[in-house]
Amino acid sequence: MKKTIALLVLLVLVSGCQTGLFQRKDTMQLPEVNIGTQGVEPLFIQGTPPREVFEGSAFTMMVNLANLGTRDVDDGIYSLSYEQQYLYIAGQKNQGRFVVRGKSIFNPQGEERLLNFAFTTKSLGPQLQGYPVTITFNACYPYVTNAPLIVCIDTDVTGKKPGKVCTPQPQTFPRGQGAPVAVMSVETKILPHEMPNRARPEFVITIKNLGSGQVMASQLYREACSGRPLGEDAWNVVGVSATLSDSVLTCAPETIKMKQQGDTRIVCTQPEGIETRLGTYTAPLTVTLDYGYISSITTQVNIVKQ
Amino acid sequence: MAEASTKEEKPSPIAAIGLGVIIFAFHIFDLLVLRRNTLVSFTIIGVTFAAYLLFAIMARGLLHDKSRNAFIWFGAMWLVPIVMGLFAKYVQNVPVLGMITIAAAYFPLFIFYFYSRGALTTFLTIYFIAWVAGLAFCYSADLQQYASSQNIKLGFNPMLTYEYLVSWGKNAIMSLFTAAGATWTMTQSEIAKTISAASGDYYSGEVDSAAKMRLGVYIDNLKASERMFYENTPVTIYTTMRAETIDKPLDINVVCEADGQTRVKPRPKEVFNVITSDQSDIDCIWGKGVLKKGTHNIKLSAEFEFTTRSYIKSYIMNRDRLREYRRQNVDPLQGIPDKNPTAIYTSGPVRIGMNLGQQPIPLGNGGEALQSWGVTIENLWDGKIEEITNVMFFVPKGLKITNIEGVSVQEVRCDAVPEEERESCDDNLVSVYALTPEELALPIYKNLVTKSFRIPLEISDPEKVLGKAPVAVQNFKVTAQYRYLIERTTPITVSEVTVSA
Repeated sequence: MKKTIALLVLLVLVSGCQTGLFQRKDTMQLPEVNIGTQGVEPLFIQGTPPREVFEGSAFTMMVNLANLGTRDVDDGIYSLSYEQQYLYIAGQKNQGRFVVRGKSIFNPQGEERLLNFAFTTKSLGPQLQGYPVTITFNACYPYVTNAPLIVCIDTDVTGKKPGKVCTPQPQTFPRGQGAPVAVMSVETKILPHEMPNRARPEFVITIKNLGSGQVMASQLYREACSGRPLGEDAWNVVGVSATLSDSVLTCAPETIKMKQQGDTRIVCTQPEGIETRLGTYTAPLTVTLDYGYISSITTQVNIVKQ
Repeated sequence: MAEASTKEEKPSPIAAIGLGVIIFAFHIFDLLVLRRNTLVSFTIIGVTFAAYLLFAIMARGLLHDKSRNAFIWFGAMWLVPIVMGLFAKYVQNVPVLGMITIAAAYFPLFIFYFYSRGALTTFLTIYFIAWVAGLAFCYSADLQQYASSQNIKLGFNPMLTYEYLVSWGKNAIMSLFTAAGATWTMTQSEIAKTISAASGDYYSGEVDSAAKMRLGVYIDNLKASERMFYENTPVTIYTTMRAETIDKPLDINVVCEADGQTRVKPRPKEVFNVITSDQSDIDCIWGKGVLKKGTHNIKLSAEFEFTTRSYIKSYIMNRDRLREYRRQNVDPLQGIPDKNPTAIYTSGPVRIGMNLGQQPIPLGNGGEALQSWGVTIENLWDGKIEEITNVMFFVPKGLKITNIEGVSVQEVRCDAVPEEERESCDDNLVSVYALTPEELALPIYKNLVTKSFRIPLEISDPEKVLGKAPVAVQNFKVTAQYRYLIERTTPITVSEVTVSA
């Protein structure tokens, strides 16, 4: 009896204990929204348009515009290309505008817009048993890549001081920054300055288009969705700016024409330099890329005789 | 020692069997291709010739034979299926046809095998006897019928066989002439196509794969109701005709004639009106005594008006923009499934092939030239395009046909296109051009084998062509209306009736 009572008391006492093993995890990690290599991605909703339709019948094509990047698009443009000899859109234009918000910590999926197109098929003409009609949807929009990075600034150019908090070394970012054009790597160099007691930081930034579309100068994205030419200097053009802590860096060139194949390098520097007395420390480097982008998708609908 | 080395040099049976299998495959290929009557057939004949030559050289090497025998044997074997292909439709005895096929296929193998063993002469003797026996067996029924018709009692009668062979030989000679005529026409057609292809003036296409129907008129080979005909019996020749059409009824005029002059009305009727699809047995019956004793060439012809339509998809892009894409090394047709569209034509006796050059087509400013459009109209079947009655070219609005070198065309509106096509023709979307009646009256449009057009295009309104999209998908079409003639011939022999005492 005594043993039973002692066991019950022990159980009551133990129940008040909390061990690490049974501890509840009340904390949640914030979603990583600043990664990814996509911007506004158009996608045909499954089953639309149908693979096969009869001549003289109507069908709907639904395009989902999902902003899978981090930047809001307030004035995007879409255009539709189809064979007018076989298809007709009732009461709609084949060009229009769209607004779609980007990913954020409050909306980690990004916003989606659904566009509906009501097509009517025309007569195939005699003898022809079927015809595969091609429909292309283009989405053109301005976009910005914002890459916040932490770099190591070591003003000890000679490298004689011991016990530093960090060492400048190349950093790579293969997962992107939530935009189709990504900062792939940053290499930090600290160079001697003309003035004594100062050092000049220099950053070699490598960028690349990791998306499936084409890059153009940001002010020309509207033309990209039309049939007009943009001019040879308009394609693959990206505006570059960068800040180190609160200081604006000088990037050369400020507008760069990206290479179609391989990486493109930009050098950003702080001409006035940093005082060497600040020693070695980590600082936020923000690289901003500004451009226009076009994403296209194509599908085929087979029109058949009834 | 010397004997051992001779044994080593003999070809192995496995090599000979392998060779035989390859030869058999080539033979079958020959036969299949020769019956298709296409441009490829000449190429295939050339390829098989090269293969046979190679086999002959191999055989000489393996057998250490310095004579020309291997070349002769293999040359003969190359020719057998070709000749057989040409004459196949005139040989009506199925067992004989089968024997020829099997013999042609395996003969080189036997030659190769027995040649290497020095037993070729024995083999050939047995082979010859077997053939004669086989033929005698196959034709014994004919011989008996012939004897019965002549009121000749069966028994030992060498003259009967002689007479029968004379009669059979006459038929064979008639077949030879008919086949030679058909071969000459086919050769001319193939030469014309080859010249067109060689001069780069030939544009290809594919038949509409969605077509479940075989449009047009198909006639089987003619068959005789009897093995032998006599002056006191009617002569009946029959065949089966199948016809399929959509959207427009088909009127088929059928004519039966013997030796190009003695016409009879076909049964059940002369004019067949087909709304969708029809299959009819047609009999041509010459009353008793109409066809006199001798060999006659029977011909059944079917003439009908038909239309073939063809289209080719094209991707059109602003010239400067396309240049920009190319300089950036960007594929302007990224994501488009069919980057090099081919012309698709409706099924029937004529092929309309087309080509628009490299895609996408660069579009310049108004008044500038667009890359030319190539069109080939080609007779696909073994009949004749008697007359082309109408050819229409449909180009997207914003483009125009200026003038085709040496060809007279005129712009027409959609109300001038064939009635059944008007619904799908919109003057706001297409410009229509037709060959003028004067142009179509020229002799080149009669009995046409192949005709190519190189059509220069000019940009009249680039915005209309391109619309508001980076790449415009447009459609070029051709419609050809024509009268087509299909002929089937067969020789028959009418024998005299002799009354025995």
